[in-house]
Amino acid sequence: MSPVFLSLFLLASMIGAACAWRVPSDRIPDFLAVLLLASSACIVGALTIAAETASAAARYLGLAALIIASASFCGNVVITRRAKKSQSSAPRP
Amino acid sequence: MTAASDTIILVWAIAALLLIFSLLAAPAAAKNTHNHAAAMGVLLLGGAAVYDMDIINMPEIAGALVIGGAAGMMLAREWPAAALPILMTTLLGMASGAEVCSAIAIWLNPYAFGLVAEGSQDVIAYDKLMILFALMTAGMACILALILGIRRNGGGSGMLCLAIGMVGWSASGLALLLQNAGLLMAGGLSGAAGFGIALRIFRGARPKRLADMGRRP
Repeated sequence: MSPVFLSLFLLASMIGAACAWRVPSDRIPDFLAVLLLASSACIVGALTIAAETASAAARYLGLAALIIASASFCGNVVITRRAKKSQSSAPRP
Repeated sequence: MTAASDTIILVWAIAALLLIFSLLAAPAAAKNTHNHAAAMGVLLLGGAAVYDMDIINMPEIAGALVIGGAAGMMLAREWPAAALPILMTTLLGMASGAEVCSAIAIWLNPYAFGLVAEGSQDVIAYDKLMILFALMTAGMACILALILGIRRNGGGSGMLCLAIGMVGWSASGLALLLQNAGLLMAGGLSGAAGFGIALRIFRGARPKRLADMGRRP
């Protein structure tokens, strides 16, 4: 592991942990929605693998991964919008 | 360093900043800005990946993106609002399944990613470890999502956060194999944040359940 990658990874982990620590308990669902979107970044890995593999089996697996990851990303975008909309339209007591 | 790699590094940095902004703004935001920022960050990472590669099978990749995107959007639009947490768990399970497929594809063809030393037939030990790490964390996230789906208990539980964290670590493992710093940042952020929230929930914080998102105190 190169030092640049290691330091980037540690930096990202520290920022993520700090964000998780400072979020209030009643806002955790909003935070989870963002985390779901961020975790669907696996579409990038699937894209790279589907494009660069040479063997047929690996390419079809990469394409399957790309279909699933794309469905996950688009679904997450739509349901976060739906959840936010239902949250904002809920009547205040 | 070429101009292309400068551009890609710039795009990775912008995407990482957008993801960090979305995580920082999530607790306070009343609007949908943070969700848009996170989606834009992921899209930028995807764009940088496309720009960086010599794609041979572009039609297949475009078809896969369109088919998957349409299926995901249709699923999310038609799903009943009362059962949204189950859908979130399902989509998380799908993301972890995609990572399992990606890790197996790298295992099947390590030559394409420079994971085999010159003059050798075997994968480098460190890269083998990374593939196993990505496979194990993604598999565990998949199993956790399956358990949550079977128990119909998708909302607000620590196990969901744990699964998100595992998907993030798995993405980090894949990023180290693919030498993609943007994916590494996104995976590290979501992995550490997911584990942090899971730790808080297991230690006794009681968040509102995802099913209660529409209700206010």
